[in-house]
Amino acid sequence: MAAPHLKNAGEEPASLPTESTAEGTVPEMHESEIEVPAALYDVVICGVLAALGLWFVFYALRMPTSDAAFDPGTFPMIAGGLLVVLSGLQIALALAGKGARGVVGFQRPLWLAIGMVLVMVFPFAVGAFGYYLVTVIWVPVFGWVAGVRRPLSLLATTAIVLLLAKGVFEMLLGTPLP
Amino acid sequence: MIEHFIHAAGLVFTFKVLIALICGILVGYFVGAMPGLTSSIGMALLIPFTFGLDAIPAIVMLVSIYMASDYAGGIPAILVNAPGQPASAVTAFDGFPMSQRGESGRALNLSIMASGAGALISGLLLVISAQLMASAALAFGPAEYFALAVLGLSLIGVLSAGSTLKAVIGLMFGLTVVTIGIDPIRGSERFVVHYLLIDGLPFLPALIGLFALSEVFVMLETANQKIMPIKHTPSASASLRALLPYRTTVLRSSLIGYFVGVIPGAGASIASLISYGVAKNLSPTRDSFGKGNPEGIVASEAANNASVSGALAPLLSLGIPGSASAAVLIGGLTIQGLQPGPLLFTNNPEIPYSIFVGLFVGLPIMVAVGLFGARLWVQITRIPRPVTATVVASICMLGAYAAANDTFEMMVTAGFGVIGYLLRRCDIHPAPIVLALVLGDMLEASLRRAMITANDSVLSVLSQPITAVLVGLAVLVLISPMLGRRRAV
Repeated sequence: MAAPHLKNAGEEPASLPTESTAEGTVPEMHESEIEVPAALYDVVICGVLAALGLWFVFYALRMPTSDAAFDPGTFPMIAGGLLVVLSGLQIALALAGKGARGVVGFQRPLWLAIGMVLVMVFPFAVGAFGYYLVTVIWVPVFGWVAGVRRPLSLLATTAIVLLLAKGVFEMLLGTPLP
Repeated sequence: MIEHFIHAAGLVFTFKVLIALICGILVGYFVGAMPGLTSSIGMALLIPFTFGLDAIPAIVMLVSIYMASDYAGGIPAILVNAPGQPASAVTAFDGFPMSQRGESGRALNLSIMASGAGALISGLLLVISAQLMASAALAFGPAEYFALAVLGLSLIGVLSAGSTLKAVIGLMFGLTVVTIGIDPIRGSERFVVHYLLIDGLPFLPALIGLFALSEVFVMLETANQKIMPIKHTPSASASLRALLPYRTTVLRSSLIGYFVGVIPGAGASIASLISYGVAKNLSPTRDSFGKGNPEGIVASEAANNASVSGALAPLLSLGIPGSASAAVLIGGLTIQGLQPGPLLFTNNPEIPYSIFVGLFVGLPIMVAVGLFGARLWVQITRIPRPVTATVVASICMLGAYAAANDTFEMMVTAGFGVIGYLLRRCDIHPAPIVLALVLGDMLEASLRRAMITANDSVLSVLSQPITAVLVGLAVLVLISPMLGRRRAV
């Protein structure tokens, strides 16, 4: 009943090969795509999920128990246990080559990794140096990583974010930013 | 019921609520027309903006975004073959061929009028059914709620896009991490590795991370893609007469959309696909479907818009979201101190009735904005993807911070953004995880209360008639894909 051929709709627009320059972007950043066998990727991700499930089961077993059928640790133990079992099943299926999806391709992998690091660092930087100072630097850098190359576009994007923060969040909604 | 409607109308027809409604429609159109942004992402991003609002304008705004984004998804689907929303992919089957042969104005008119008709019919069904469902649910005890949550989660698992096993893994991940914090019955701490987790994982930042920030990472990957140039940017005319030859299709598709929308996990994509399939099979000109048959647009658009009201019915009456966007709406309601479910109609009747009134008031505005703003909305697809990614990432962080004025919420958003992206690439989509985060507490608390009431006898809990039927249905739903596969072999 599911519609697998629809699941990427809305995520991937109709696109043309990256030949000419779209507004504000430079397609000259030709970067090789990293391809990982889908089975290997599934094994790694489900392995991590199984480990997480095991961690929950381990600590749930150490929680105090009583005569009641359901103690505080029972539900997380069941959920974590099922996570372990189902992830294990998926790993077994992947290793057996059932339901193979070919490869998982990561486009622009370097930029993607830098983008993730920037996002992870942002909260710590805001905590240390304050929102506005960090945003003035972070937005253009993230924009560059995302593929914005025209200085005017970077400036406009930064201005939009700062205006939203000051005008809407601080002034309209009364959310004080650090 | 009438007095509640009159009271709600008085509350909706105020300057503040009408402005919120119009803002919601405009944001919804923006989000809907932009490939890559979905209604759930738009709502997740906008929830932080509702912190300073009263409950009614906040909820009316969020529902308007939900409705309008489904309206708008068809516009780029027809004009540039880039569905703004997943459900609009079906609209593109016939909309884009019509556009290519120079009938884009007619296609847009049919799309928007069918959307409006679908929303009107399903809105009426919502008003009738939500109150009835809520009245019936008032008799539910913890055992029935537990069974309802199990059924909801099993449907989500089976009906989600992609592999059922992976959807259930997503559900279990959500159900596991939702147990972090204070135990709902005894109040003891569970898995609190840091004092900031004492209240559990903050729902809204996790939601923003899973839906919106993970999409930003997808955008980072596809930054070099060039959007197809627009050949025709017509203005559409409002003509109800154009819809008349398809009135049976409109009615049938609206009913299909509504009832598919009620089923948790099914959503607009499946509604439009089923409706399209039925219309094609019943049509004497079935061979022309996929080549620019106007009936295909009508069937798809009426159904996917009707599914919005369908998804709101179990949300308002039972507290069970019918779709990912409805799950996000639960977040919006919770922030306002409201608990969706049967008691909402008893304790805060102004909320569901304001939503009903808001749907009907917003409907002509949405149709007008769609018809007369088509040229503008299609230009949205031309905004460079890297710029969108940068602005959305920044709003994600701002919104997460605003949830509790703490950078910890930003860290949760960042973490769940990365987790959400990595899981997506494994075909584990965010919707089942978010729905498990929403229903997890209810599932555990109801089960444990039911067990206490039944003196720890599982048999007593499961032998209650409604519980037995609902759990039986859940088991059937979970094993049905396996049975289908065996039959196919």
